[in-house]
Amino acid sequence: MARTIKVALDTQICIWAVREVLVGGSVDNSEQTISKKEKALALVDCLAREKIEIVIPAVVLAELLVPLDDATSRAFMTAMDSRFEILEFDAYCAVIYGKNYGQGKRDDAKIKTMKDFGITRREMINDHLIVATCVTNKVDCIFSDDQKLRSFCDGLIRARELPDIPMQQRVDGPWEIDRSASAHLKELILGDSQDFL
Amino acid sequence: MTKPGTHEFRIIRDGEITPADLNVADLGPLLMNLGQAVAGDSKTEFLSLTDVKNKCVSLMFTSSNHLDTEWEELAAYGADPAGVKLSPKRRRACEFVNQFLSNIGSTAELYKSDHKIGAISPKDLPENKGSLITFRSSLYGMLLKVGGKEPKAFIQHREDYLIACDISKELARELAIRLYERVGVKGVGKRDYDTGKIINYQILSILPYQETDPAKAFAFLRANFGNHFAGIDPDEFVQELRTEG
Repeated sequence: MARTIKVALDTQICIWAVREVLVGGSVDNSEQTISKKEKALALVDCLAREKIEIVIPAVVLAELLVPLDDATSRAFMTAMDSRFEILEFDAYCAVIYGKNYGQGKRDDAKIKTMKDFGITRREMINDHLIVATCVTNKVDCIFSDDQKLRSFCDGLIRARELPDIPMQQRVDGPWEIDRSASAHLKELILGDSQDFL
Repeated sequence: MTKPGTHEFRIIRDGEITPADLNVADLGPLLMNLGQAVAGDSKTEFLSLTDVKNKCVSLMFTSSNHLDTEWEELAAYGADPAGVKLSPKRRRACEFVNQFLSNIGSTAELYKSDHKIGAISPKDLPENKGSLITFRSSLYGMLLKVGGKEPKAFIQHREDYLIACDISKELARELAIRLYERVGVKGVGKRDYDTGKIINYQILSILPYQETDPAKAFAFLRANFGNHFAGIDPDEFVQELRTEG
């Protein structure tokens, strides 16, 4: 049986993949917005095509619920619960959290990174919770556009930014994911490379 | 009949125990851990054949080396887990054997040259609470088998990780229609403190999760909830959420 690859998506990538590209009632054509949305959708498509499991840590789900009113939140929860593996923060995640947090306090490189980003440990609570949940559940990689979360993952779990998945245009047809993308995506998730080559 | 120089691990319980109760997938981890419990890191081979007689399953081992002392140490572990000195690797393996027997409600008798030298009766053993963490959480995986007199659901959590979950008859009936599908369940279990491996798990409810193509799942969310996120800059939103307070 081939090994199943499991990846977690961070909050901002989920929102890029879900949100309508509308700002103030008009279409937002800013290059960055289009680009990020396209990147997020290409990532989801490519993961789906390769049968790579997408899991959602409960903390990410919690952050997704923040902008929603109660009724919408309830409906969104039901939709998520029946379609995605939701990774809960449980007692064993607490053990991992404690180990990571304790090691982080003694790790000079991590302390320096935090100083470089100008952030306090308290500000990284959600990052710690997400990483501990993913480590416990043997997630292969976290896709996140939060640079401090990625830097904090060093040595604990692979973390990658939203990748530039190569697209190709069919003759007189739509753009689609380049066929070579699949192998590169697996390399990105499981290998040492940080970039989509 | 045990031959001189061989060791026998006889799994018994009240009532009949048959090969159907112990298939190869169950025996694999047991044999691996039993081998480690005796041979530890040594390269000595410790081979097994399974024999069924007298309503019990016997695992016959033979080795070209002398593992009598280690076999006796395993018997001593059965009598007093804390009283026998073992390497961490062997102790973890002994704990696995203990937990395995507990899961199938059985006791193991250890024989050396046809003489019973000890037994491991999980219910009589004090649980090493320091090395197991009780957790309550959801579990997802492929449902490979469900049923039995004392029902169990076998969920393939990962390719190398089959979990025999305790389940009520009512939930077993409900889950049975999902055979060979990925399922989500909620329950309580124990994980090894050091490895995080799930040692046991009791299913308390079945989640509504149905395996869905992620592209379709996101398309559904976009169609139904996309407008609620339309005015949000995802990067700023996350940055604010994680740095405030």
